Amino acid sequence: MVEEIFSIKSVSKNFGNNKVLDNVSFDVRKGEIIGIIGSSGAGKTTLLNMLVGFVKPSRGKILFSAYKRSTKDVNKHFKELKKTYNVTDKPLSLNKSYGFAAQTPSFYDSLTIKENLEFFGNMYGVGEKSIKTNIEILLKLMSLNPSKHVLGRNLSGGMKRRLDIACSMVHNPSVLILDEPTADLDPVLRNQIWEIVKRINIRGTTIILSSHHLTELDVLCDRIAIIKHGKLVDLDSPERLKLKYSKVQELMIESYPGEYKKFIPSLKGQNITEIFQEGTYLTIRTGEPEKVIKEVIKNLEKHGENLIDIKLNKPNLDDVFVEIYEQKRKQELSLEHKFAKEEVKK
Amino acid sequence: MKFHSMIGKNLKLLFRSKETAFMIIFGPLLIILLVSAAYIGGSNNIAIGTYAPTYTSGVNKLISSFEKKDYVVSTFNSQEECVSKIRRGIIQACIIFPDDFKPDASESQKIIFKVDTSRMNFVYMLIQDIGSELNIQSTDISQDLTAKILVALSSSKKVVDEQYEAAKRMDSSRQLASEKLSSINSTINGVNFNITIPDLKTLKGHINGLDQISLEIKKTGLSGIEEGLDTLYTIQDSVLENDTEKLVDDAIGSLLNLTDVLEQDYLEVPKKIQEANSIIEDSAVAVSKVNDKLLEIKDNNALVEANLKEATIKLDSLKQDLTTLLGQLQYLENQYDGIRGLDAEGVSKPIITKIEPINNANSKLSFTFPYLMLLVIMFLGLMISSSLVVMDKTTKAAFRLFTTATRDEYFVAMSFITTMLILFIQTIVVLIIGGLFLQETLFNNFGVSITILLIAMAIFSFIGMIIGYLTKTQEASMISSLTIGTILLFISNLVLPLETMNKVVQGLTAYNPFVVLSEMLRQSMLFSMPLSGVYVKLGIMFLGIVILLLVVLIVQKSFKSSFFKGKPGDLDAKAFASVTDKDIKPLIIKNKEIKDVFGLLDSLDSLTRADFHELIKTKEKAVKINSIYDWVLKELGEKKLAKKLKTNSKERMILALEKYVKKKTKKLSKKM
Repeated sequence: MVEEIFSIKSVSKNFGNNKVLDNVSFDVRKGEIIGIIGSSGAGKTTLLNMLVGFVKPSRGKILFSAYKRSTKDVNKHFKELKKTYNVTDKPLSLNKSYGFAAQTPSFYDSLTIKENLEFFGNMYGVGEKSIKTNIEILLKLMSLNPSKHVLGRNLSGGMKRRLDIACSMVHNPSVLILDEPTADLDPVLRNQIWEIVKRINIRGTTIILSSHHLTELDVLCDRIAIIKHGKLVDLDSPERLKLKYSKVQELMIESYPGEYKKFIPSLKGQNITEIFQEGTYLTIRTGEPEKVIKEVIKNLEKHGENLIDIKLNKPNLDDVFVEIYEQKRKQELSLEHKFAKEEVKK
Repeated sequence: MKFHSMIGKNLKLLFRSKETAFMIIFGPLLIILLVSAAYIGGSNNIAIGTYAPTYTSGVNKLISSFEKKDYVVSTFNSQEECVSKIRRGIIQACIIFPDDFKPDASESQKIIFKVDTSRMNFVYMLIQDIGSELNIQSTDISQDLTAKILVALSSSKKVVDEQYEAAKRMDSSRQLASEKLSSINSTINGVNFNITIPDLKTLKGHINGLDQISLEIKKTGLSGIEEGLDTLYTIQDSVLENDTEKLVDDAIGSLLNLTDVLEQDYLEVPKKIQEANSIIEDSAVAVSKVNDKLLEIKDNNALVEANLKEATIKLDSLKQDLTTLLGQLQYLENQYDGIRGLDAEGVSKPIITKIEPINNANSKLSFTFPYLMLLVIMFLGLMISSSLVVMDKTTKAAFRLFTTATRDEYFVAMSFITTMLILFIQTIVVLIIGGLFLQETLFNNFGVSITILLIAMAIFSFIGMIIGYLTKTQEASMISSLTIGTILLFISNLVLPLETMNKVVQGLTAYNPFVVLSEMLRQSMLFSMPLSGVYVKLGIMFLGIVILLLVVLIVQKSFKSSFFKGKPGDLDAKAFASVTDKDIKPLIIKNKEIKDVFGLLDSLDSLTRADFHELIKTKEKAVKINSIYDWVLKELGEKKLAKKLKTNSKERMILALEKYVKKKTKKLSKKM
């Protein structure tokens, strides 16, 4: 049986005349990793803030089902359903049920890693023994143990992010909300963070996160919600989203001397969506890559091109994202054409 | 646990920040040490200038006396030069001596002080100090002059004493003379010069009549004697007794003898009358002469009498003069007696003032200590509590802190307790240091004093917390704390006496906790005022604490509700657009008009690499054309953002734009 942690029901949020969220409804399931993607200003952060009561919805409601572990040990899975809250009532005990890591790491620079964890553990009302246990586990989990006595201000970017997540986890919440946890991080650090997220999730913590690194979310998330201009466009697993929105695959060919213009016209008639030269590569987007590859190789030989490299990029979330965001523009353009034609007819 | 953790965190934050640690640990100690050092055994080393047309010995004496008092004295050739040095702050005062200044000159001499009144406190000190030095010299001169006068008066008194005695002697002589004159006068008046000289012829006739009288006396006597003899003969004839006969015989014999004598004397009378007549005749001649002389004397006596009368009048006048003289001499005597025992210092400086403290304070620091103590508490309280609150507000941990399961009131309480703890420790340290410097106990009335101090700590902590919640940065909170502290300080006794301020400001001081608390502390520390003496004011202060606490809670709630409004992501597109939607030439990306950063970000997100490279053209890895950079720079006028967009990476560009949008949104949210 699927258990929901959050139940977002027809939530809208207006700031003045600007509608940031428009009738958004979805559930967050217990134990899943759900990613929220959208362009900047799409309403992702507003939605995350609303989930924990920082921002009050203009319309609709958000229900939160609090779970707690049978013991306070972070290694134990959540078992018991405790209570369902209306988040807009801002119950104080709700704060104990979630961990929130905002875009900017939130901890004290003048305290060490351990001191920060102890302090926030106390602030969340966790018992002394549990704090000790949790800190030990979190330090290992976040690979921060060797630096536990280092002041926050002296940590590297990745360590800061890990400490921030650890602080969000110190009270052992059933839900962890991460708002762009890998922003400003290099790929190595990003991988570290995703690895940690996975580890946390494995222990039963539900994770809601937003990120611009869609490829990484593709691997990590159970489900992804796509928000566009305040509206929930889709919510599904990455695989299903890719199937839904990106039927085109990308073929990249590199040859010498690379005079692709000579044979591009001969590829006409193939099921090619887009063809362009990008550096030394010829990029072809097509729904039938196998067929196009054959044709391209044939043309390369014909025009005396020596094949150096050939790649086939399967669709990813980036493509899904672009597809969704382009859809509207295409719709708009087609509407414009339609109106133009009608006017010409008139 | 939460309590310990919060207090511990606050203390760690304060002490791990070098600036606040310095302020908290060393600030008050430094203040106390500096003030103690300044008040105890202070020296001057103040530069003063002098100008005198001629540097007489009097001027040089004064200058050397200033130098002895640690003043750095410079001499100038003109007043203007001296004054210009004051204006430039090289010297603090200029003393202008009169021409040919002589301290002991008989006429008064004017010494002019030129001071910069903008340095008010300093000027008062200087005038007092230099003025007192000049006064000492002036008093010395005065004393010399007075001594001379007193010596002269004393000599005069001796002369007056002598003159008084002489006058007294003169008066008694005059009195004697007057008496004598009076006696002479009465004597003269008593003399009767109207002598009636008897008619010597009548006298002669009478004397001649004496012959007849003597004949009659002879006849009468003889007849008597004959009758006696007859009687005796009769008796002799009738009574013949021996003894009686003898007696009669004797009587007869005597009578017979007497008859002989009478006869004999009678014979002598004419001779005697003759002699008498001759004497009378001589006398008549002499009397006539005397009478003439007397008549002459009588005439002279009238003249004498007139002269005597005049002399008497003169003596009377002399008497009056002498009486007046004596009276005046007596008055002078009394006056001299009045100034007897006076010394020159007493005359030249009749009133000697001496200020005797009613407390046991033995140094300037002692009586300023309560004010100083409260000053430290006020500034520390304001700054620590405001710093703590702002730290919690502005720290990047604020978000997490305010999303923990902790009640808002708890944050207020913890900030308050932390401030109180630090202030309490500081107060004890300052008291100990103060005690060491003052070498007297400040703990006589410790119970009341510490109660007042605790109330002061609470009040200033709460005020500081309000400042903290109302300001947005550490700098703003510090400036606000200092400003409020300075205002409270300015309308207090510490800078200028309250009584010298205008009535409106004086009225305001009733609401100035610094004034009320410092006065209470002063009364407690210096006069050991019992709790009963200050309980009304303490009550008012308690009420103030309650009101301040309520205000703190209100501003904290207000801050908290606005805190999440300002979180990134709460983008008010309208507000944002109002800033960025200028009359600009749009950027065309894939036939779409971009008018702002928001739209640019949206478009970039959905741009394919090919589309992107239509906007950004590179040659040998160097960016040759960057339409986005050009547009942002020229149309939006955002130089910083444009600089960050100087890249051929779409991701970097998006990142830069996102940061910009977040920053801008945060600013806008705060404004709203």
